[in-house]
Amino acid sequence: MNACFKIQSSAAQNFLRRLVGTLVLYAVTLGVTLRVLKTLHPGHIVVVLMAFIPAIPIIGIIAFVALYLKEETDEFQRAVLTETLLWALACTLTITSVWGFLEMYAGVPPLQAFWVFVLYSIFVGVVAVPVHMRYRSDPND
Amino acid sequence: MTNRLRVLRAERSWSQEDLAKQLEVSRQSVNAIETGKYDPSLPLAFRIARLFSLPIESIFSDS
Repeated sequence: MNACFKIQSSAAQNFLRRLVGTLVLYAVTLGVTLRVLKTLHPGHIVVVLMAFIPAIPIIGIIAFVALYLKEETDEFQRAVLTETLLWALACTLTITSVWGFLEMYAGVPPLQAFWVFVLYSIFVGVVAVPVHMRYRSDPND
Repeated sequence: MTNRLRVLRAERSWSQEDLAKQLEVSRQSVNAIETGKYDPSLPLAFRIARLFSLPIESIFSDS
């Protein structure tokens, strides 16, 4: 594996472990919630309550990011993650804004709002590659 | 901002990894500072200056 992708600190290792666990939890809660809502057709109150279930891992992920930024002692690594998150946010907001206008005026199918977080997570992974490449160092230096 | 970190490190025959360990940062941090892609915070700049026993302004320059 390229040196620039090596997990450097215990804070980063903790963050990655927590992130993977919470992403799996999000996928499971989202899948179960969608299946229950589609098949059992519960009442409005249950629907509202169930809608909050997949949001719990999302809050967890945001909290884990904040915890990592607090635990990471390497300021450069904090800066790299912050840059990655901001680029991913910019991509997500751009795509969803454009999609919103296309929904209204071009007849594209509506995007369910819960996909926004999935889209953001994908962009974090995608954007991380060029951001890390930018700071890639020569392994022989 | 420019800096003389690479020169100072080379004078001591330290690798980026050696310097990173002494500063308790990642090697990528040292590389990013040396190549001017990242400007260190004031506390890290002080740590670097103390390690080389030099004043900050003789390592970092805003010109």
